[in-house]
Amino acid sequence: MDGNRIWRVETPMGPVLQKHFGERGVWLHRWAREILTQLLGKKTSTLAAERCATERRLLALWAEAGLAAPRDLSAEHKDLAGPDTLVLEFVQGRLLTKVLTDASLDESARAAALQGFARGWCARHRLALERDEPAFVQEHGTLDHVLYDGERFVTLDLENAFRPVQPVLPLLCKEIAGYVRSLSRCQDEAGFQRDLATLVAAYPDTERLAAAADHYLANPSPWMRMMWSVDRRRVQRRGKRYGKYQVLESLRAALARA
Amino acid sequence: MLADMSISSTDSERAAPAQPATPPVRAPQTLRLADLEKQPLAGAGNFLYKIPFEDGFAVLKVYFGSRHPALHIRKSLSNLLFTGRTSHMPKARYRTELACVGVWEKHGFRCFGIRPEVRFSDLPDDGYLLFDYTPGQHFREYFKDEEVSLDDRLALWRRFLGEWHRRHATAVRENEPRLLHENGDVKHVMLWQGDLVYFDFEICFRSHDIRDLVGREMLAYMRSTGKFFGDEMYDRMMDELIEHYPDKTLLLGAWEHAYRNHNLFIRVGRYLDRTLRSRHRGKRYSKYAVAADIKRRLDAASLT
Repeated sequence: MDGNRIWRVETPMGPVLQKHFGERGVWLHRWAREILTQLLGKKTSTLAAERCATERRLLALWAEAGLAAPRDLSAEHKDLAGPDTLVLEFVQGRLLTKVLTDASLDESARAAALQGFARGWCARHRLALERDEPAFVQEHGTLDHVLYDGERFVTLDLENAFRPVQPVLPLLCKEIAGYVRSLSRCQDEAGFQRDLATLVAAYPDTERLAAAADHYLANPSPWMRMMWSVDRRRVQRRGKRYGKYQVLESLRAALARA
Repeated sequence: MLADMSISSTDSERAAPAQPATPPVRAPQTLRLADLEKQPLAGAGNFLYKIPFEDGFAVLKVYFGSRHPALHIRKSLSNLLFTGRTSHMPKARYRTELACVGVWEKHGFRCFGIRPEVRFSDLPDDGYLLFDYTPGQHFREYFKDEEVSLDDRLALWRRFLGEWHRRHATAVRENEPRLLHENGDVKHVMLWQGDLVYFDFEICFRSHDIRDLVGREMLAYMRSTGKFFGDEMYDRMMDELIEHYPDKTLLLGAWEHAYRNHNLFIRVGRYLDRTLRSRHRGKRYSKYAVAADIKRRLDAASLT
């Protein structure tokens, strides 16, 4: 089996999700990735049991901090939980990307969704900086990992995390870049620019957004600038519609307009 | 009536069937098999007789059966050294069956009632068991019975799935291999007085790798549904299994048992078995085909 599986299970207390963590890739690839991760030391383990433990730890941390993530119900459903399996709250909602790509969604509802998300997003970022806690930063930040149930914006997929050995701000910048990039895929160019303007206007701490853009586009380290310059050319050669750098330039422009 | 027997819950929350009442204390009695009119019943290896008893009948299982002692020794060695099962010697099978019935009944799973107070003077001690006569309807027959509506049959299957999961979860929680049916298939479950009744426990596994044993048992049951009930019923029962068996991770264990056994030695053996042995090829209900089918259906049911 390659990767995770998530099943909906009916119980007398209502539906829950059973998330089974499977190993990814063939063993050679898996161990090469794991050794590299351990050597770099910036992220948690990529092995199935460790990813399960990471998600369990992060869900507890997020719940304690009042952040919106599925509740870990493993203790209440011991028969369904296991060493590589978590039982999670079933959130009746749609992925935010699905909501934002829904052509039938009217503009006001669309703006309301983006504004609601931006406020919660900013609050989480503030908490991460205040507590200097990388666990509050999503390692794989994308709108594909946010469920919207009409009220809450529930963040999913916390199985990988940053280790607490590095400053939080650059991690936040990465996460913001990831989210903006996923936003760019929801609509055409004009729609993306409108969505970005809505997001920027609703995100209370615009300096942080500016820092995210600058982290990639005007990093003070010449070494990092050189690395990303090479990467940027490589991305441009591949002809992607929205690379990380392009969307961050858009973010910078949106911030300037705001 | 059966339509009301659906299940939709996990085990810890579902009430276990009531524990069997404490068996009544009965006066010991001694019989002579030779004096009784006995009717042989189906049974491989053991002698199995339906005999008149009290006002009705009972079933006598004699573990010293038709097999040559050398066969018992060979099978015992194989069981103990290679396959991780309990001994095949007659008295060992008697002890295993007695212990398993005790464990199953302790956890609320109904088995054939045992009459330990009855002794047979012409049979070796610890070599036989007398069971209550239980003329229930075998699963093997029930699910083929066209007179029973399909809805009722599937409702009973869903009820079985709930009890099946409860037993598996109990075995995992208690680390109890005796709760797993070594000879488990639709031939060894029957419907009797509204209860599911299980039988044939003379051999069990000694391994405490319970999740793997659960996977093995699932394959054995599902293979038998295909073999006995045909493709259409197999598909329906498999659909119900994937939808209603609560713990999908345990279900996935069936595939892991056949394809990704965490014991590397067994995994290599299984790889060679399915690759080199022609008898598995093209068989819809080989353990590999059924395991792959379960995995395919679980993947389809996954939200990711």
